[in-house]
Amino acid sequence: MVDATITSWAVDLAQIGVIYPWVGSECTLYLIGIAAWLGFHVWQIRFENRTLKMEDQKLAKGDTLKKCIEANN
Amino acid sequence: MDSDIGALTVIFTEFYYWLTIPLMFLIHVGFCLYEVGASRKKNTAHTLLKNVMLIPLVTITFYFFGWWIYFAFPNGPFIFQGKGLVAAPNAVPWSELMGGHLGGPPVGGSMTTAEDNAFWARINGVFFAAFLLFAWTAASIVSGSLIERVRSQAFWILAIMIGSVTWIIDAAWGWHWDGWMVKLLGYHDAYASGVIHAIAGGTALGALVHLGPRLGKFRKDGTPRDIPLQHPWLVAIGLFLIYTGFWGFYVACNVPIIDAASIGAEGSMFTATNIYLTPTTLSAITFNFLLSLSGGLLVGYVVSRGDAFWTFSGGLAGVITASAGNDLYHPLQALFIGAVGTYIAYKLHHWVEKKFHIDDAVGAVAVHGYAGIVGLIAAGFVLWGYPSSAFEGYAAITPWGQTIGAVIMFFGLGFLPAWIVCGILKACGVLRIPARVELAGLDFSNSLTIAEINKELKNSDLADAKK
Repeated sequence: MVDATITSWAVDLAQIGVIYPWVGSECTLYLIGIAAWLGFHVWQIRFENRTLKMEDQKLAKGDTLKKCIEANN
Repeated sequence: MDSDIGALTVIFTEFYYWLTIPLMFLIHVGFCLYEVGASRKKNTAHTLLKNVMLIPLVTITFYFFGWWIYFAFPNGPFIFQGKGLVAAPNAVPWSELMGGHLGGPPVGGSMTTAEDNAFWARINGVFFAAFLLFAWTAASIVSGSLIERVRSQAFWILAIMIGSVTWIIDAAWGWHWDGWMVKLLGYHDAYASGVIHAIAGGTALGALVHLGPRLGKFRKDGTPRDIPLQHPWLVAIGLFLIYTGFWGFYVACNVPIIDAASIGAEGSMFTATNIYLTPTTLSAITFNFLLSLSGGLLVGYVVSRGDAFWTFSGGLAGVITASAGNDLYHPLQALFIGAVGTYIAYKLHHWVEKKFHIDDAVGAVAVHGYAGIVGLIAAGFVLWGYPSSAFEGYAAITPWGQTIGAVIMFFGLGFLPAWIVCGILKACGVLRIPARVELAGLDFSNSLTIAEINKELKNSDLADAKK
């Protein structure tokens, strides 16, 4: 068990501030969060480019696009 | 919480803001239904995903930097008050107050003081959430305009820009008791005609200029085609949910209970205030919300000759127009202001569409942007001479202060950043989907997959039937 922020609730609650665990790790968590957020966008750009390119290629073949338009309307 | 009344005030305030949050969530539900109702069947899943995914993206970025911007930026672009950034120990993302806290003394090395902790511990999270839900709303307003042809990633960049940067800068400037626009211009925008709606309308317009119209929207001679609502009842339910969420929005814009002496008033009483800490009541804003909604619905119906979409949207435009001054208006003033704003928004939408070939799929630029501008300027005339703040040394409300404010909201923080960002995205080739995919529909891959699964299931059923 790592050091818990709270080990008993039978105390003067007015003297309790933070209640979440791992106090002091906030900056590290923040940096990991920023990296995850930016990582998502990099992944999404690649994923979207790949998907749209693949769909566009499928639609360019034969009369696929025409069939799609007819099916949609 | 050093007295019983102090404890009750804090806990009531915490609960009050918390209640507004699920109510405002309905705005997002409404926008999703509204957009799906307005988009064609071939784009349904993509339209929903585009809007839903702004929730996590705006939420995490609002946590990372948006909340801090609100407290750090009220002095404006520094040329006005020369005071620089304001310290915001409650809103820095690594602050101990950005998590569960009972208000006790700070931990060693903390940037907060005992006073910060005592004041913010129970309010920071719910206050953050109320502002965050406004951020979702601003982004979601833009989303509707761009349906059926924008790339998801491009929209999400725009959503983060307005949700976690530009809207919260405008809130720090003009929707903060000590914002420079309030202090120097007497800017008054109690329920966000400008700080949410005009900026969102301007952002949508800036994006639409680069994005271009949906394929087939304009005939060869340049006249617009009406792409009818695919599901009018979904649009109706969506807009009714937006109206419902708007109640929560109005309530969240108020400070529910404050000791009048702390805002410089004489006597001893408690009052509710708007965000500028000037007194109002829930009763006053309820009167005005209902009458401005009615003004917008009536004019929307008449001016559109009974068109369902513009009637429902007219109700929204009515509320948005009157929102800047709905803390103070007489209900019949709110009715007429809402009616005028709706008329102007409707006419301007169709004029801009024909003249500039701007395809605003859900009329968001008009309903939010033009109505928001009209609302700000109207408040300048109707509330001319009213104090913009409870404190001394602030400019009074004037037509010119409100007009400058409208220009800052719609063009400065709305249109211009979106126009620049979308110009870059367009130059990189990542703003709009390929033409063939647009024609086939953004759910093309989903449709193929579903068709293949259905075919496989059908064959399996037929095989079982033969046994």
